[in-house]
Amino acid sequence: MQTVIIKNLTKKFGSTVAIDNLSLNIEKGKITGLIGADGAGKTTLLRTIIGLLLPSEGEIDVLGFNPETQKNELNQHIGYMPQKFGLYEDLTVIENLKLYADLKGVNIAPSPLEGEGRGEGSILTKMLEFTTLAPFQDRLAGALSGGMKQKLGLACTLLGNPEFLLLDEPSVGVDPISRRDLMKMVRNMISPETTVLWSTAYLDEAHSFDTAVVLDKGKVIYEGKPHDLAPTPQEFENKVIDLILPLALRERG
Amino acid sequence: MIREFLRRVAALIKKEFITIWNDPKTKGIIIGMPLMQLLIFSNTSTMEVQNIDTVILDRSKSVESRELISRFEYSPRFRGFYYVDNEDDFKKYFDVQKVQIGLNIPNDFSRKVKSGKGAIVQVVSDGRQTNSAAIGAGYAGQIISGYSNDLMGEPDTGINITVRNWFNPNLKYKWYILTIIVSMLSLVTTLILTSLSIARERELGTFDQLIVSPLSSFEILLGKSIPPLCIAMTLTMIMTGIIIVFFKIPFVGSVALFLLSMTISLLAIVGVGLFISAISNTQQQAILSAMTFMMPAVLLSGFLSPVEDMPMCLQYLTYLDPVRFFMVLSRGIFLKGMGLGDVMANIIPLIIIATITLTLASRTFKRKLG
Repeated sequence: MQTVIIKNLTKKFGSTVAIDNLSLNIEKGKITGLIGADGAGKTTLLRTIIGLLLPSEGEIDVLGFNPETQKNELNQHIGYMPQKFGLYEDLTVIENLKLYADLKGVNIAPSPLEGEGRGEGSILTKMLEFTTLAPFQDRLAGALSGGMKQKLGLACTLLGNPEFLLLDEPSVGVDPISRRDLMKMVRNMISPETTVLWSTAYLDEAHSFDTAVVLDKGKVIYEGKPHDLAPTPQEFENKVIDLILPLALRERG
Repeated sequence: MIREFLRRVAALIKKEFITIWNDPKTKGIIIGMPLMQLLIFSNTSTMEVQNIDTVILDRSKSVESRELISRFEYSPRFRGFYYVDNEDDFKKYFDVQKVQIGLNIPNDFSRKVKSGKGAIVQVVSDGRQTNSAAIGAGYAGQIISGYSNDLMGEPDTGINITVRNWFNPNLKYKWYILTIIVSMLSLVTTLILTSLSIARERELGTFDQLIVSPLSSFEILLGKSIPPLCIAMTLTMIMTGIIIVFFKIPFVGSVALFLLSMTISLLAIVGVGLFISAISNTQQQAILSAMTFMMPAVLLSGFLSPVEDMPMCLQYLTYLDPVRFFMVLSRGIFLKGMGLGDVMANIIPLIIIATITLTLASRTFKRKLG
């Protein structure tokens, strides 16, 4: 079963073609890695899938909705974490979580003694514990480190158990331990039916995904299981570079 | 369904209030700036002319002329007096801009006053200082008329310079200015808050999150409109209280009509602000756009010169200007006790403007997606 069906998608910005006649299916319940160098079209593709950008040509079906015309309906089912997650830096960690919980209609178990959302068993408490942000819950989001901000952003995105999770390079600028934590958070907190589309430029990270889609200049140049391409992360990295490099060299003449 | 709708909008409203309150700069803009400006404008921005310097040429040198001059000398509006005995010296004071007003009392002043044949006193004003000269001449006219009435017991003695002001009988321009300033400050605060609101979220990258959240455009619009509206209404009430208590300006209209018209006026401004914010990518763009709207809107409102004195094409343009109706309503209800009929005549255009601008803002949220 497919979560996303894309047919002949093209997205142009003026005369620049960001996505070039791309067709792709994303399977339900799998973690798909969207791999590519900077400017390959990863962010454009993600934003077009959720209707933040409108396609120049082609068709997109996401969970049975057309992102262009059924945005409000689609928004009830997705979680999107952009490269720079929009945390409200003037709000504390817990206030950010509560805001997103309210916006997504997530039930926060009330605890009169400890304040709403802070009681034992509350989804927010679980999120705070899992993200190791519990000691910093009253700290302003703006005062968190880069890794902590990403964890908080991911926690906000995961609230409400979205059917389809889109993560745009969540591990960029984050230390290796936090990168591992982010991956752990996603794997442990989503349900088996959740589809994840995770864009990344880190090839070792992409090797652990169920499916890898390699993008270059807005085109899919590889789609399949990472292990089918190479058995180890190091070999996978070399293979992907081997795929991208000849194209780049050919272009340069 | 409705519970979820209310929960989402309430969450957004709460977030807006916390964000505004936690940002010292924004807090300063919405609390400090209007109160400080009210204090400054109340003492500087006035059409009341004080300390008028006057040159006097008294050819009559009679009891009657001295009596008239003493009335000028005792008036708090007139300050420096220069006494001359010829036309050339009289003119010289104007040439060097030492005076704004000149009083020329002819030889036959006393005789004509006594015979009731219509004495003439020439009041000369410096046309280069248009406003103060005109207002100063008006004050002079009042003093002369007052003297004339006292002397003859009836108004028609030939010294018939009469200035009469409805609704502000004592020519207290502070009344007029302060009621307008309260509206202007509420308007500026609302416009700044709303025009920055979405642009700020765009700069911080949070607006994308709102767009992909289950919030509909209407819910975003509500969440973005209610906080600035509440803040501006609170400010309006505080400032209105200040000018009533400390400046003793009588509020003669209906409080309910005043609050209703202020709410609708501010809602129209919220629509303009949100539309500006929706089309701006940065806060800088938003502020510049707000200023671009503000200047012509204030000029077309009739604040500086009456709408009736503008060219016909501009008069038509003023019907698109929410500030015009805002001004008429605040001044009219406050000082004149404007009735329901007149209030409605000005509120209906504001409702139309608010509907158009809020709809445009809401649609622009979506169109801006690219």
